[in-house]
Amino acid sequence: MAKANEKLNRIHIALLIYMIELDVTVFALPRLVAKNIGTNGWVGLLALTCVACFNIWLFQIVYRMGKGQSFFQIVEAVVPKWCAYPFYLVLTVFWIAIGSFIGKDFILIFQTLTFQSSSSMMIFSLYCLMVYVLLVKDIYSILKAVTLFFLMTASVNLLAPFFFQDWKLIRFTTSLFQGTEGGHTLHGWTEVYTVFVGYELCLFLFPYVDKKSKLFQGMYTGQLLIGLVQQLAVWVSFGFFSFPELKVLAYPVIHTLEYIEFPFINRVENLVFPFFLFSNLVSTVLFAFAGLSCLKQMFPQARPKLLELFIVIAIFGLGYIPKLLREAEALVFHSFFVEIGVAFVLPLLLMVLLQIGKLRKKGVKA
Amino acid sequence: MKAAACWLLMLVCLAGCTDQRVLEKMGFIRTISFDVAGQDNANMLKVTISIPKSSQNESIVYTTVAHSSKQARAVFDRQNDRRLVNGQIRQILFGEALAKQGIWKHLDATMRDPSVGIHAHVVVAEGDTEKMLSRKYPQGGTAGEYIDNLLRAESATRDIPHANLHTFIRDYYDDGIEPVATILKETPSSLLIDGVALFKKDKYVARVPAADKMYFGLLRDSVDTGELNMDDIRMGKESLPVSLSYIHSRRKIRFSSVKGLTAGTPLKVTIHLRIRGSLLEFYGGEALDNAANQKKLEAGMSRYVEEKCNALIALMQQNKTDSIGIGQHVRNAMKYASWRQLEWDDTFSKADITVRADVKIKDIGKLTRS
Amino acid sequence: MKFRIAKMLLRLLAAPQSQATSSAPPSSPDDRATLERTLHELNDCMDLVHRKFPSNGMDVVYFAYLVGNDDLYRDIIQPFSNATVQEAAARLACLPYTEVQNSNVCIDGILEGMAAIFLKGKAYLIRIDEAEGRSIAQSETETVISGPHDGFVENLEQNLSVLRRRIKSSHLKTIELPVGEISKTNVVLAYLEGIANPDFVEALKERIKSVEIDSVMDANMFVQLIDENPNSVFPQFLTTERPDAVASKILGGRIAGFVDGSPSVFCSPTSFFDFFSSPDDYYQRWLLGTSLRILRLVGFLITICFTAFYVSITTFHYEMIPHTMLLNLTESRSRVPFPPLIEALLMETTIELLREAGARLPTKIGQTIGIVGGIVIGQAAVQAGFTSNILIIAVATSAIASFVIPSYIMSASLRLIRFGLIILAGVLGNLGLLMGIGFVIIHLAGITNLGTSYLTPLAPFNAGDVLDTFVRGPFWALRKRPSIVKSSNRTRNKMRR
Repeated sequence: MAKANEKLNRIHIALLIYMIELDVTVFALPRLVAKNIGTNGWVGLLALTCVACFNIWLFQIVYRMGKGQSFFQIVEAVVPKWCAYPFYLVLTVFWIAIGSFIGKDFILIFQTLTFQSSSSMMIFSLYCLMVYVLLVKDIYSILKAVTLFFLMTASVNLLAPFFFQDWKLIRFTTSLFQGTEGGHTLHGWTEVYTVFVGYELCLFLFPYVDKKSKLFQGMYTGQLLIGLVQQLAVWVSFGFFSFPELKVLAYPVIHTLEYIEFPFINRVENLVFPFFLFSNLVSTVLFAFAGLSCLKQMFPQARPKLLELFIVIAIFGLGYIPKLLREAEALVFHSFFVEIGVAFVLPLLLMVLLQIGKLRKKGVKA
Repeated sequence: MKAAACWLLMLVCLAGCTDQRVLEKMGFIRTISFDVAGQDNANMLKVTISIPKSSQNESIVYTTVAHSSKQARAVFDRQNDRRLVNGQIRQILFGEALAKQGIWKHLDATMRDPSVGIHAHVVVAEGDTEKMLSRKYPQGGTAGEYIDNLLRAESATRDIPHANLHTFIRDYYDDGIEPVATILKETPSSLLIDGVALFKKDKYVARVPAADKMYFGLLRDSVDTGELNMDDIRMGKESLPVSLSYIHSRRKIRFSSVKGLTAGTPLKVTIHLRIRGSLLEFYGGEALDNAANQKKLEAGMSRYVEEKCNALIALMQQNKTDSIGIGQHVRNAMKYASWRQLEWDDTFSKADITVRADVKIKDIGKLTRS
Repeated sequence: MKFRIAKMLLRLLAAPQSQATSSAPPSSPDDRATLERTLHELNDCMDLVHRKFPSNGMDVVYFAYLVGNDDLYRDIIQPFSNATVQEAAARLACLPYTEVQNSNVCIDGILEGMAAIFLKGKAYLIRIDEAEGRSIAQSETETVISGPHDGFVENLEQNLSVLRRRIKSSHLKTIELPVGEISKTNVVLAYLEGIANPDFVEALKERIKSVEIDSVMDANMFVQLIDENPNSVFPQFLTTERPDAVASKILGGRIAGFVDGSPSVFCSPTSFFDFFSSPDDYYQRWLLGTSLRILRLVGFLITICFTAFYVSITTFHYEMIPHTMLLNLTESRSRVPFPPLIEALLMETTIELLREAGARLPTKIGQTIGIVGGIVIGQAAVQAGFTSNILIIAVATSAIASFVIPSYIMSASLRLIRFGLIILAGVLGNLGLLMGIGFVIIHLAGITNLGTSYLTPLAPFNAGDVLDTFVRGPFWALRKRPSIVKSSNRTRNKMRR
C-alpha cells in the first residue's frame, strides 16, 4: 500500500512529544514547583525547559553522527550481541515498568475523585486493554490516534480564561526562588524535572523518519509546546492560589478545575480529569513501544502481536506492585529519576559508541 | 480478543456497583452547620445538616451533638434512608461562638474531601444555626436554597468579598492577607446579611457592620459594581444624604520605605481609592448642573469615604488583622528573608494608614436639582 | 478469521469458472460462435427470440425484453429483411456491427441486450438494447433545498450520461470492470486523467478485479467487498446518489465507482469527515455553510455522547449537576424503577425500533408510527414512571442529532457506537465514556482507504484541508484539491480575490 512511503511529519512528532511528556506528574506540577523552586518558580521551570532542550540537542548530535542509524544499529555495530542483549532487556523491563506505574498512578488519582471503592486493578485492566489495542497498531496509526488525543487533551487549556476573574498577579510575590521546603537541592529540582520525562523515546523514532520529516524540529516544537502549557498551568495556579496554600495542595491542577462552573454543568473536574486519560495512555504506550522495539530486536522472529500481548500482560502484572497512591507516586518519581539519568547517559554512550565505530573503521582501512 | 474484552467488561460491571451514586438514591447535603453545643458540654460540637427533598419546598434537617463532624455524620447516616453525600454542599455555616474559637479543624475536614466543591459559601451565622436551617421562610424554597440565592444576589449587586471555601482557604494560607466571611443574621421574618466577619487565621475576631460593608469592599479590592449610601455629606453649609450607584473603584496602595521595618520603624501606608459612580439620590438644595457644585459634592463625599474607611482600618488595627491585604503589597516590596522575620500583625497594627479617596460623579441621573 | 476462511473457500470454488470468463482465449473450433451453440446455451429461455430472414438466410437471436423495438427495426429488420446475401454481408462488415469469434462473448453480448446475427457461419453483434427503469428523479435519501434536484437511477448508462453532461472533458475516463461470477454486473470507475492519482486508480482496479462473488446488488454492498477493514463499523467509501456530489468528488481528484443496478455511487479515497459534508454547504454563502458544518459536528457529538453522559452523571457524578437542576432531575428519576443504564438502553432501543419501523413501512403508515411513538410512548412512559422525562429529552435529542449527518450509513454506524458508549458510561462514568471514545479513536486511526488515512485532514494534519472540512471556507480560500487524493495537479481555483 501507499503506507510504505509515509514518513512521520514534524507536526505529529511535536504532538507526540507533547503527549508523552504530559502525564500524571502534571497534576502536581504547581505544587512541585512551589515546594522545590519556590516563589516565581515558573522562571525555574523555564530554565528546566532549556535543560530539556539541551538534552534533545544531545540526541540530535547522535542522529547526525549516526546519519540516522537506529539505536540498535549503533549499538550492535560495536558491542557484540551477547553483551547488548542483557542491556536491552534491562531497558525493556524498566520502560515497561514506567509505563505501568504511570497508568496505575493515574487510576489511583482518579480513584480519589470517584470510584473510591472499586478495585483499581479492574479499571487498570481496561486501561491495559486500551494500551494493547493501540500498541498493536503500527507507529503511523499510533501517531494518528495521538493527534486526535492531543486535540481532546489540549482543549482543556481553553478553560484557562475562566480563572481570570479570581486570578491576581500579586500572589506571585516579587521574590525569586524563595520559600522552598528545605532550600534548593538537586533532588528538589530533579523532582520538578520529572515532568519532562519522555522526550528521550525519540530515539526509537529514528527508523521511521527521514530528512524531510525534520524530526528534531518537531521535537523542539513539541518541547516548547509542552513547556508553554506547563507554564500556563503554573501561572494559573500561582495567581489563583496563595503560595503557602500551593505547597499543601496535593493536585493543584485538578483543584483549579473544580472552580469552573457553567450554567449547565458544575464541578468540571469530573469531566475534564478523564481527558488526561489520553495523555497518560500515550505516555504508557510510547514507553511500551520503546520496550517493544527492544524486544523485537531480540526476538525478530516472534509471532505478530505476541510480544505486544506479553508487554501488556507485564504492564498489568507490574500494576499490582503499587497499591497505595503513596507507593505509586514514589515509584513514578523514583523510576522517573532513573529515566532522567538514562535520558542523559544514553546519548553520551551512543556518541562514544559511534566514535569507537568510526575509529575501528579507520583502523580497518589503514 | 473480543471474548476477552467482553469478559473484562463483565468483571468491571460487577466491580462498579459499589461506587454507583444513582441520583434518586442519594441524600444531598445542601447545607452543613457547625456550632458549639452549649455551656454544659463545651468540647462538643453541634452539627446540623439540611437535605432538600425532591419536592423542592421541603428539606430534612438533622441535628446532633458529637465530638467531630465525622461522628455526627455517622449519626445522620443511621437516620437517613438515603446515602448521604457531600458533593452538593453549597453552604458551610459556622455559629458565632464556634467561629470565635477557630474553625480550621472543620474546614480542613471539608476541604480534604474531594467530593466537596470549592464554591461552597463560608458563612458565620448569628443565631441558632439549627433553627435557621429548619425554619420556613416566606421567600419560598428551602433554607439552603434561600441562603444560596441570597448570597448570590448580594454578590451580583454589590461586588464585595463573599467568602467561599476557595477564597477562605486561600487567604487563610496567605501570609499577607486574612480571610473574611459573610455574616448571616436571623430576623423574625427572614435572614439578613449582616456584615462581614473578619478572621485572624481561622478565628473570628471582629465584624464589619452591614452599613460599612461597601467601604470594606472598597478597601479590600477594586470594585466593579455596588452602591455607596452616605448619610451626611457636607456640601457647603448643608449636610445631606447622598447615594452613589453603579460605583466602580480602583484601589492603590502606597507605602513608605520598607527598609527599617524589621527594626521597628513604623510603616506609613496610603491607600488611594478612585471611585466613580452615578448619583441617583440627592436631596440637596443646590443645582447640580454646574461643575463647581458637583465638585463640592465630590469633595464632601471623598471626605466621608475617608472617614468611614479610616474607622474600619482602626478596627482592623485594633484586632491586628490585615483583612485588606496590605501585607501582600508590603511583602512584594521586601526581601523574602526580612519579610519572614517581620511580625506583620504587629507592624500592621502600629502602621500609620491613611486613606485618600477620590470620588467623582459620573452622571447625575435625570434631574438636575431636587 | 471466519471471513478469511470463507474467502479462501470461495476462491477455491470459483477458480475454474473465473478462468473461463475472465479472458477470451483465441478461438478454437470448439468455442466458435455458432447459431446452434448459442441456441443450445440459451435453451429454455422463453424470452429468447430467434428470427430468420428467408431472403438471405440470416439468423438473428436476441432477448425480447432487453431490446428496443425502434432500434431493432432500424438496425435489423429494415436493412436486412429484403437484402440479398451480398448486400447483407457488406452491411455487416461495417460498424456498428461487430464480428465475434468466441461463443462466450456472443452469449454475453446477447445477455447484455445485443442482438446476435449469424450469416454464413459468421457471427455479429449489434447493440440494440433499451434501458428500462425509472426516470431520473430526486434522491429520496439525500435531499437538498437549493441546488440540482436530479439523482442517480438504477441504470448505469443513464448515470454515466448524467455525469458526462456535467463534466464535458476528454480527460474524464471510464473503465468498465465486470463483477459477479453469475450476475456479471458492470462496475464503472470514472476519474479525471491527470488529476486523479494513477496509483489509486490501479489499486482500486486491482481490488475490484480480485472480487470473486456470485453477484453484486448494490454499491453499498459492493464497497464492503473492496474495503480494507471489513470488520469496522464505519463505512469506508462515501456513497451518494447525487450527481453533483459525484461530479465534484471527481473534479476534486477522487475516483467514482458506478455499479450497474444501483443508484448509489461510491467515491474513493474517502476520509471520515467527508461523511459530514453535504453539497448544500457549497450552494450557501460560506458563513452559512460553515455554521452548518459546525452544527453537524455538534450533532455528531450529541449523537455519540449525550445519552451516555446522562447515564454517567445520574449514575456516578451527581456533583456535576447544577443545584437548580438537581432537584428536578431527582424528582423525575425518583419514580423510575430501573437504574439509569437500563433505563437509557430501554429508551434507546425503543427509539431504534421506531426508526426501523418507520423505515420499513410505507410513508402513509409511517406517520402513524410517528404519532404512536412520539406521543403515546413518550408521554405515557414518563407518566407511568417508566422513564424520566430528562432521559426522553436526551434520547430524542440524540436521535434527532443523528439525522443531521448527511450520510445515512454513517449515522447508522454512529447510533450503534452510542450503545457501546452508554454501557461504558454506565459502568465507569465519565472515565468509561472517554475510554469508549478513546477506543473509537484508536479504531479510526487504524482505518485506511486505498492506503490513505481515514482521519485526514486531522492526521496527517493539513491546514488547507481543515478549511474545507470543519468549516466551509470561502471559495477564494479553497484553492487546492484535498491532500488525501495525492493529486499531481492540486490547484483548482486560480481566481485571486
